[in-house]
Amino acid sequence: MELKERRQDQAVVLELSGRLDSNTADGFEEKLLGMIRNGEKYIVLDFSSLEYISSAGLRVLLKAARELKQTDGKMHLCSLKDYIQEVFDLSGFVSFLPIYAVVEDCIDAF
Amino acid sequence: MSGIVNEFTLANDISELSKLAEEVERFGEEARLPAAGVFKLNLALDELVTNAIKYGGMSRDGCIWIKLAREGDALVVELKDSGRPFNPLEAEAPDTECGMHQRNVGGLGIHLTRKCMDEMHYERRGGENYLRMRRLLGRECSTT
Repeated sequence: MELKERRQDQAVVLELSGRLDSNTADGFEEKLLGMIRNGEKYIVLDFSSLEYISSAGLRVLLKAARELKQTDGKMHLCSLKDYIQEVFDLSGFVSFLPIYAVVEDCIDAF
Repeated sequence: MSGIVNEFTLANDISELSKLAEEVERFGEEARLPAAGVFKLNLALDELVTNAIKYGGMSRDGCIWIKLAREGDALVVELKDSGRPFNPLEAEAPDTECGMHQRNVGGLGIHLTRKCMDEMHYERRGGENYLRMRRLLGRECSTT
């Protein structure tokens, strides 16, 4: 999996591409939790190039969402492929991870 | 379109998920599965394989055998591993309705596998876990 990071307004946008599974989840966790611990409060995860996610990836998102709650931060997701959206529906993660169509919508919603 | 089969083994190493993805992709092309179908097949197997490698206690040289077949209007998936007895059909389903702080991600992977398959059958035989699963083509994961 590859990660591209950029700043847009008050948010940091992480663009994920490739596969987020047990093979790649540890590296992503280190990056994401590191950003939160360094004080990032508004995080956008752009999934437009993400091809695959398993429960290992969901686990990282849950950890990050919990940490952000403690710092009053927020994490918004966007541009999920239909079949990836379905994983979020099936797992019930949609109840605490807001999902939007595009990056701009994520930022407007902070 | 019947008679398409892909049979392979994975070593007891989490990096083998890459090989799993390649094999599922190859089978998907031959069986002309849509992208969503390939994804769900991969997800269902990924969760089982990850579980077996991380928690199955297989010996270092243990391996996981997988067979994918298209039989008429269905995909038939078989998986064998030499880990300790584990029946995924008896695994407790996670509460997917509760809030973030009550969430326990244990069991989520197997829950996803079950949602991606129409039928699952488990047997412990010859010191191995054996799973046979079916998914009807033309049906995507149910969200209900």
